[in-house]
Amino acid sequence: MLRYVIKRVLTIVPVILGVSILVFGFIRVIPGDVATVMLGERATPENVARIREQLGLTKPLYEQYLIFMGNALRGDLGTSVLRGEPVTQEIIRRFPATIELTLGAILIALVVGIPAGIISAVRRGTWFDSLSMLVALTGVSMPIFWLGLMLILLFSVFLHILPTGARLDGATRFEPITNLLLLDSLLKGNIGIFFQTLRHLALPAIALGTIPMAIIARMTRSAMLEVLNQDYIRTAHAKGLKERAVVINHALRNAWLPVITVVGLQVGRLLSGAILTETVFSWPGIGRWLVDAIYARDFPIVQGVTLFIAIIFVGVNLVVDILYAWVDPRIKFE
Amino acid sequence: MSAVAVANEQSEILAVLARPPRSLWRDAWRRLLSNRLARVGMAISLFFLLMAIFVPFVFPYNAKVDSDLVNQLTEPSREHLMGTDEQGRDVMNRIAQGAQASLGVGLSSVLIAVVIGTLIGLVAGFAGRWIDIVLMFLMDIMLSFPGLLLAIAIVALVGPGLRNSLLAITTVSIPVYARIARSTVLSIKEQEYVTAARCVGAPSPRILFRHVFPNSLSPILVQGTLGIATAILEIAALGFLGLGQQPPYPEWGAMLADSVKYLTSGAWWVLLFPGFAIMLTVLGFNLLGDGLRDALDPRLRVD
Amino acid sequence: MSTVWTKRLLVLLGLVAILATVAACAAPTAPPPQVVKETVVVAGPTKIVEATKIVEATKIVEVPKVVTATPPPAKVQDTFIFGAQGEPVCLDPAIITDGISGRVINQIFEGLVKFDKDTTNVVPSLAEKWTTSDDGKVWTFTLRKGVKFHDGTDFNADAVVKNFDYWQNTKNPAHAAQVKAGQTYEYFEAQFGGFDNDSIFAKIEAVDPTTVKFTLKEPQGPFLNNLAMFVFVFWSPPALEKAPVECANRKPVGTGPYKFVEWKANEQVTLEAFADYWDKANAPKMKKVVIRNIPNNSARLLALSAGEIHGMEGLEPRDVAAVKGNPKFKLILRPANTTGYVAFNYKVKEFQNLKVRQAFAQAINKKPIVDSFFGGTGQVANQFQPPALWGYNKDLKDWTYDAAVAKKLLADAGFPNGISKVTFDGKEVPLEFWYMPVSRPYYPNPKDIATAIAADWAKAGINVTLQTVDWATYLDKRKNGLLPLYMLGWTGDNGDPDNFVCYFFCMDAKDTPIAREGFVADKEVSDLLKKAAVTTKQADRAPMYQKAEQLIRDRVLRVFIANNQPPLAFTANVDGYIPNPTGTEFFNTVVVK
Repeated sequence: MLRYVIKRVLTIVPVILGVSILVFGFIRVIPGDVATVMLGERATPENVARIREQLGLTKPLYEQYLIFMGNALRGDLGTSVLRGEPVTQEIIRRFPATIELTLGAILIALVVGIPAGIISAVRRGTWFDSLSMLVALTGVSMPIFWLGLMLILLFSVFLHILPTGARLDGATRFEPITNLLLLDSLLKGNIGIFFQTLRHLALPAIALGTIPMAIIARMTRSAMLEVLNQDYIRTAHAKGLKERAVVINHALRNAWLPVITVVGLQVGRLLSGAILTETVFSWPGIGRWLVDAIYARDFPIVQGVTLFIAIIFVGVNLVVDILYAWVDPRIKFE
Repeated sequence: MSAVAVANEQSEILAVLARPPRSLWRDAWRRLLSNRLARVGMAISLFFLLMAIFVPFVFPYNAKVDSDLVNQLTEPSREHLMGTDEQGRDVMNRIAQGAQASLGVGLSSVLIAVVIGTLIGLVAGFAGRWIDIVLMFLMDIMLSFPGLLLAIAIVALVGPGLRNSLLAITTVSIPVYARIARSTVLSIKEQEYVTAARCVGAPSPRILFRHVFPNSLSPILVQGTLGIATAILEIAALGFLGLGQQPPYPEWGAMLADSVKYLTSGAWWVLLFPGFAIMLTVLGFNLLGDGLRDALDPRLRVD
Repeated sequence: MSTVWTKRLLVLLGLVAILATVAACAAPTAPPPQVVKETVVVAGPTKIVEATKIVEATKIVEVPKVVTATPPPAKVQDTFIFGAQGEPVCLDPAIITDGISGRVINQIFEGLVKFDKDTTNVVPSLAEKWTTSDDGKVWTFTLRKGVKFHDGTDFNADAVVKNFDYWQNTKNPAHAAQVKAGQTYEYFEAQFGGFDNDSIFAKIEAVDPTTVKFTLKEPQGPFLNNLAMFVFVFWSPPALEKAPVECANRKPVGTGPYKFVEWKANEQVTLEAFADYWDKANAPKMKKVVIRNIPNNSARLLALSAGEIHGMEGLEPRDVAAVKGNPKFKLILRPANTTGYVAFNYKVKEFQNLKVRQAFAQAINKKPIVDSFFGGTGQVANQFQPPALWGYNKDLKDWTYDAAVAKKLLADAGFPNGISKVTFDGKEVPLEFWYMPVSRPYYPNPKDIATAIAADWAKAGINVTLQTVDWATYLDKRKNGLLPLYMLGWTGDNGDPDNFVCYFFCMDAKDTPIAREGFVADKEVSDLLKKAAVTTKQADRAPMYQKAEQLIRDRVLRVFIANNQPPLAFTANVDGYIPNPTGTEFFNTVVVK
């Protein structure tokens, strides 16, 4: 097992190296000039040349890459060109917002998706099954940015019960500790902020959680159905075991392997989705920051955040793989 | 076992043998048609497909001159069933005309990605060794980015527009098909009929296309249909981020993006209808794809 | 089948769905979420919603007011709180260019002269009076006596000279340190020709403690207006020397009505009244001023509506009407000082033909466009300068909108079937019309406006392809003359016509066509403007600018679309806010009743 883990961890080293080269190269070939962004309508060739010099853009490419990687390994992803903020620090400041959003989404997806899937499977063919599978089908096909807009339209614009976006009300002042506001508010014993955060989190998390929820519900249902058709389940029934015991002790235990995989696979989808969700809900996470940076061609931010997201993504897939191998003894550790 | 039973069984066997051979494909088609959700999916997909093909011909539309500022943002009425947008244009008409962009990109991106991806997968799987390692390493790197992120990055690189979105979406989906094709090759390569073909001295490309390719067709067909749905979502997302179709031409995601600023003033019609069109189309192709999967691979069916 | 556990699952499902949607926790005082248990069996988030309908929202604001964790500021009206669109970049006046930093700077620092109230007339500030030599090269300023910096240092001629040295001398340690840290002295460079030997200053001397003499290499028409700009204001010299290099730690010390207290990053800047302010007649009326950063436009309006801030900038065009109609609010429009235009690139062969340009101008129906996309704060522009500038030509008549005439003009120019392809730099290419990817004061919705202009053109047979690219590349392409036909605009810096017209139409000494401006090369206009720039008397200069505007219009060098008056919103109890066209506004006159 340990050998498998080590081997699996080692395989991601070249991948991450490849990713870093791709990210670095990508950003360099994009046309448009950082120096011009900084100077705006008043850019003159002399100013531009001076800024380029300062940013080290005049050095040869491989040298720029080595500097970039050297700094990245030390945890320094450069400095934003437009606002001068250190990218790493800003990622640390903003990523909690994205984490809170994606965790909220995955939580909704799990606690709604799994039970819905189990019930649908157990009560196959009932109205509940049809309804939840219809919802799941629609959910899978949902453009999340549209769902987000519709939720805002309904709950904020027409019903006035939930805010349109952001993590806190505009005028609220709150000094966060970890920037995971749900945690911080509890740590500080400020229950008002806790509920305010929840209210702000509700719509974005639903919007982002819908697709994974639908996929998880469908996957759980089909995994359960497959298991429920197995002989040992029939044996268990024949033994006179209660329905509940059969489902929980026998069926569920065997059905959750494919479910884990599917949950793991949703991480990429959630990170993609976060880009759109954060845009719709003015959510101050790294997704929206990235989009803004792409529009503004703020090289260091785009570079840093893309690399960061890719590493997170690769890392989560690695964890899922290891977890999978750990729970399923049938996987050979070759 | 009684003699009668044996006779019956024999006659049954004879009857089966007497029937014309049913091909895998005809069988699958029949299964597809018997699936209610798949029929719904087919109907929806067909509806939007026909819309994309015929509306621009039957109702020629010149997006360039379409503007009527006096009627800016009017609510749905008899005259404009889905209301008008910020330029005073009819929303329903723009949705119908916009089908071409969404479905056009959806279909062609999948077609191109399937061709390139399959080719890469087949070559990697068949050639093995370092070619396999290099190709799959490249695919792995691409898969190390969330799809939409990579698509956004590519569009940021080559500039916005429908054609560039097509390029981005195609590129992003290549690895999926490459992987499918490769894994089919790997599972088939060692099977007897391929070994046999090799022993007979059939050249590699021939084996590739006569034996291996047809076998990877059905998973690719399923993935492709579902891929159309994903592509339509992605083109809409790019349009929504302002990176896809450019004005004044209609595209659903871009229509939504133009309308976001009217969210708080309650102009719901410019937000509701284009998004609904996206969802319905995607739902159609998803249902069809699910149906195809059930039909083509009976082993995958759970009920 | 036993259904007990499935029911429990349903309950669980419902409970968590509710916890997640959190409709129930409207206010901290609301019952904790377990109260919803009994409704849970319905298992949908929709049911719970009714219980939570709380405070009804005001007309304009989409989000209800929610009880906030920290109570709004005490109702003692000794503080004026302004909601800004973003974070100041830096609080050192010399190295900033943005209005958000500028607003803070204006309260803390003062210069020799300033813009008067809501005009761009230059009036004395720290200089009492000034004289200029006949050749316009020597300016002598008499400084006000008894002025003190916030740190107690006396303001005198020496301080002025030291500040100018900080701006223009690249060897000045403070200057060099900033350049090393990546900062630029952009405005100084733009307005005064450059640094060291490039600057227009031959000599700057402290004749005596209250007299400063500037000797220029050649006369500069807009010299006073340049000096009045918000960035040419004075640091207390000892404070400047001691200030750390990093922007965030530079504590600004000037002579202004309010002194700096603290800058909380991403939150607010706090200022307090300066007791020893020299201008007793205009002493600050509030004890404290807070400039709060609320980036989201809706959130800011919500905060205004809740009384948490007293004034704000960055009102969405669509919200203007609602603010105007609500007695709770006061809408103030900043006098128009912006012009949005459509520019031709003269490398396009077709645009060298006056008839073609005239057709483009006459095919745009400006009025409906301005009415539809400026939220009622825009006005149709017929020349480059906004009406408030003294070089504005009141008698100028705009080209009338007439698609038929435009078509005929095109036909006369040799395009009977309209125009959709052009010869750009020797190659035949589709005619692209470039629009800006970002909202600017002169074009709040560039994409919508461009779409409408393109539709107007299409109706007259001009078929353009709409194009955009990210803002940086856009400016880059424009700078290098690569955009065949594009949209852009200008916000005036200093109220001098030179800052508008000459920046765009003056060619260099060798009369090279300006790439930045689409290779526009009208020698007559350029010479006229250059002459106006070195003329020092306003009475002599005004007719020159008016004539230049007439020539620009007659030759359709460019098509001007609109002037915008950026809207500001205040609560009804705010008085004395005077909007200046350049955005240089002083809060000492503001009262919150």
